[in-house]
Amino acid sequence: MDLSLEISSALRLLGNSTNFGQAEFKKVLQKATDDLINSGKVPVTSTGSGACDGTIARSHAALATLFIEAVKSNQDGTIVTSTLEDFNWPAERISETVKELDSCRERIRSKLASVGTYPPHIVDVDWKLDYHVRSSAGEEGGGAFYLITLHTEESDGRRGKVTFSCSLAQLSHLVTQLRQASRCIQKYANNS
Amino acid sequence: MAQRFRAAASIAQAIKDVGYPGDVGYQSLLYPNETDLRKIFMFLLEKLPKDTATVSDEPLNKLTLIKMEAKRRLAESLRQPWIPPHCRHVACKYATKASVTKYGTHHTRQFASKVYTPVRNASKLSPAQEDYYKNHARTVSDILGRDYVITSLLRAHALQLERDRILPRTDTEMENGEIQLKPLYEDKENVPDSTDIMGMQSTTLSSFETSKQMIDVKINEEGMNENSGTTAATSEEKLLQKREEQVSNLQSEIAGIRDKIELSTQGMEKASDQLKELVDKLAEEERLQEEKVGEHKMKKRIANLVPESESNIKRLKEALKNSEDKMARLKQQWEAHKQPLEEQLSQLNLEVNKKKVTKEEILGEMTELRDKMKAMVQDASRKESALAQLKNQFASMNKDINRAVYTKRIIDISAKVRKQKQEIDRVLVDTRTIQKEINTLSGKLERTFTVVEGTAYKEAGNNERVRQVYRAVAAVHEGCGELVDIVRETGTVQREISELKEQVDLEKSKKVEENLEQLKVDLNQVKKENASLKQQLL
Repeated sequence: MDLSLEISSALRLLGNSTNFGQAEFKKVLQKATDDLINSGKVPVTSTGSGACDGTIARSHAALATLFIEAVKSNQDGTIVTSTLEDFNWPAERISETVKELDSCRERIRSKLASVGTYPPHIVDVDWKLDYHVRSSAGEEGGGAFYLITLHTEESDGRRGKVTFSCSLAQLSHLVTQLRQASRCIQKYANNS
Repeated sequence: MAQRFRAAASIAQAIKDVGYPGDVGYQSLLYPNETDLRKIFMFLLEKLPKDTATVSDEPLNKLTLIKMEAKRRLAESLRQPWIPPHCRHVACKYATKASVTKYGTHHTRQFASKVYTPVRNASKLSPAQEDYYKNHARTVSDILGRDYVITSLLRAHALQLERDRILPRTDTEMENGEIQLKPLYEDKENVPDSTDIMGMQSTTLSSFETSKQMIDVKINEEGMNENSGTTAATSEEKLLQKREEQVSNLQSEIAGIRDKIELSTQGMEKASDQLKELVDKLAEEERLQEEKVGEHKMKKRIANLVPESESNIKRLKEALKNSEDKMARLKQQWEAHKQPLEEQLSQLNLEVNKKKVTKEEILGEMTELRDKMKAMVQDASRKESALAQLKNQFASMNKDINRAVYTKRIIDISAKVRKQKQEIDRVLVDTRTIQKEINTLSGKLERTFTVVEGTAYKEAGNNERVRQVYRAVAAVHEGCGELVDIVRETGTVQREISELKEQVDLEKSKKVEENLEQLKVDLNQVKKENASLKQQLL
């Protein structure tokens, strides 16, 4: 695992039993896991557990970063164990940390997966049938037209709208193309 | 009943789609015929996949692994049931994996991070900073809020990794808080002492500032300034003043020297231009001089020759003629010498061309032979593989089946068939001969009858008995003719009877009656179901 110097030095400090007592270590570990898995809906109390020692803050950040990096590169406990052994951690602390990591791995992973930029995708459709009685384009200027509103969902739960008007032929063309695309994906998925 | 009909129709359609050559409909499944059904089953059994497992021996490199993983994920997400979008965030809360395909993009957030730089070590902090570090430092989540913890930590870690890459330090240096910068210039002059060792003060201030730090000469100056800021204030001011004076002096000197340099370069340019012009002029003058000298020489010689003009003219004319003769002679010699050499040259060219042609032919033959060789090698390899395959097949074939039994049976059957064919041929030949005899006999009969009739008719006028004989013969002929016809008709009728018997047997085997009964029963049932459905609708 690729850790920066800052993180490595902080973790070394954290693993050092003389500097860091067992109780403090457990507190730091607990706080790190709680912070990582709790959703953002819990109001942040800025005063609550507020002021603490600078080393605790450093090690908390370092431990959290270790967890995040481990989940990001999908490494199992053995690699984490070897990394922590390089930093001269006592064995029981290593096992505790790995246990906590495994317990909250899925949730950290889901939070990591929810970070990202995605294009908006369609969730709903409204349509209105319009009729042009006449137009300056001559004989073919009239006819039935559809006014389509596509409701899209973007990241962070926002909704957007795409509106356009098209004739029946164009609408069926669009639908056939969508069907072709879905068939293409199905063929690729079932091809193995 | 209707469901059975529909199911049978769909199965029949599927069988047709697979490619069954015959005609198959719902009737062949609901009211089956033995032979037809057997044919359908044989066809379907042939279509079943073979027993050999398909061994995928693709190389398991990363690309194929990634592709397989992508296919698996796609197939999985295609099997998801559709959840209406306003229910998706609810499902998201109770799930451990936040996948975009299942839950839409409602829960996704952009990568929004806040800047977070961790507090470095505490060895070179001012007292105020130390106090903050000991008593008032807060953890990441308290500073940034839980929403941004993950993204900010990722960003901060990436920045740290970048910085480590650019400015590699070891752990011990990190802990000591000092780094030994290699000096940016190698010569030892003008190196102020304070720029060699840079304190960590500029970086410990990062908890209060949020600027990125890249290594620069500017930081040297910053370090200098910072350093001067921490020592005593008064001596520092004096040093500053002195340094400023020095700097201004040096700058004015630099300005003066620059002006001088400019002047001298300009003068140099002018001088070089002048030099070039002079050199050109000199060259021209020399050329003119040479021409004049040549002219002068010639004029002088002519002047010398003029006094004895006559003899000189004659001498010159003789000399001219001599030189002309000489030239003619030399020309001839040259021609004489040139010819054989030219012939030799043309001969050698011919030979060279011939050799080229032969060379190309040989090359062509070589390529042909090489191709033949390749083809033969391929052939040999193919045959070897075929041989190996056949050997395997032969070895894997079951050897303990007694082939003699089968061969004996086959030979017996073929012998029987041959004998039967012979008998049939014999019967046919007999039939034909009999038919021919019948034809000849009937022909003979007709002719004799006409002859007898004729003679009897002639004699009939004279003799009463002959008239009776004539009438009797006619009657007998008619009766026999009728008998013959009746016999023929009975023969045809018997043949028809046998044909009809065959057809009846065939139809019987189709069990049409039973099927009709079944059809009637089913039709009644369908009618009942339709009526009940109608009632339900009403």
